[in-house]
Amino acid sequence: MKFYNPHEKIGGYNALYAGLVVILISAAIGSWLNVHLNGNLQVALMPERGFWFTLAEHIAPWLVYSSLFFILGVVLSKSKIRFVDVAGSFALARVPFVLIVLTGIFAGREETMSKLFQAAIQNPGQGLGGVALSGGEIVFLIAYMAIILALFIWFIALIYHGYRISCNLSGTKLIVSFIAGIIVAEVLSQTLIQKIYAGF
Amino acid sequence: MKKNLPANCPSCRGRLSVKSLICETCDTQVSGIFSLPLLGSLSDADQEFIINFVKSSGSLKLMAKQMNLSYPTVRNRLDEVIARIEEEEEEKQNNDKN
Repeated sequence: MKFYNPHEKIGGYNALYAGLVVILISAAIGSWLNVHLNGNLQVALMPERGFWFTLAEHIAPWLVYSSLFFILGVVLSKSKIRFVDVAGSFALARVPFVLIVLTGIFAGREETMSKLFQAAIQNPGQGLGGVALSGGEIVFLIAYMAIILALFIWFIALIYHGYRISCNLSGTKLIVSFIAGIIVAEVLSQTLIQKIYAGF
Repeated sequence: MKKNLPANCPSCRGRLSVKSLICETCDTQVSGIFSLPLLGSLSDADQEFIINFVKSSGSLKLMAKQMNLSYPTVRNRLDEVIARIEEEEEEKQNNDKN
């Protein structure tokens, strides 16, 4: 089984059950380490909000992505698409989020992160001028961003292959609809999560 | 050594027909021009898939379990075989017209 494409071997209800376990685990770890999601492509350290709120942050984008890509599959594919195949593959694709939320163990470095990003915002164009960074802090920042980026790339690869196999699409149709789908799904996910924030 | 039955001419890619059949028991030979059956025109992998499909009573779920693949992967494979069969049928119809 390829780590970037498990969907050839696992699909349907098996993928859905495994994926729901992955979502529960990542929500539990995220709640414990105060790592929150704003959509599928943004992660942040925030004050504690409780397990159910964190779970909603993981469930909402999964449902939005699954529903939107299912609709795209029904419209574009010649095959008979099942929602459980799309939802299952997209749930299973959330494995990288277990590692993404684990980066919350760097919470002790929150001060470093805040210092760095505040400097970047307040002194645009001057990089991090005026901010005293130790060699260790620079190495930490680069390593942290590289890890997060690699995990998001892995997630994108997983949902790409999940979409390709569950909807039986290929070529230009697949690539164009995938890119358009991610953009729309991410906007919808973030809008939904903002509603969840407002509700809590 | 297993020999594969060619379906297309190696020279011009035209559709091959059967000219003679032989009985290995009594050496009787039957000659004529016979069309290759449609299923014989498919690749070994496609023929094996079709046989497994029939033996599974058309259950893609059972096939997925036997092949150790996901249901969507097996369904996609079936759709590919269907597309190839439809291409063969269309080509046969065009050849018959000519």
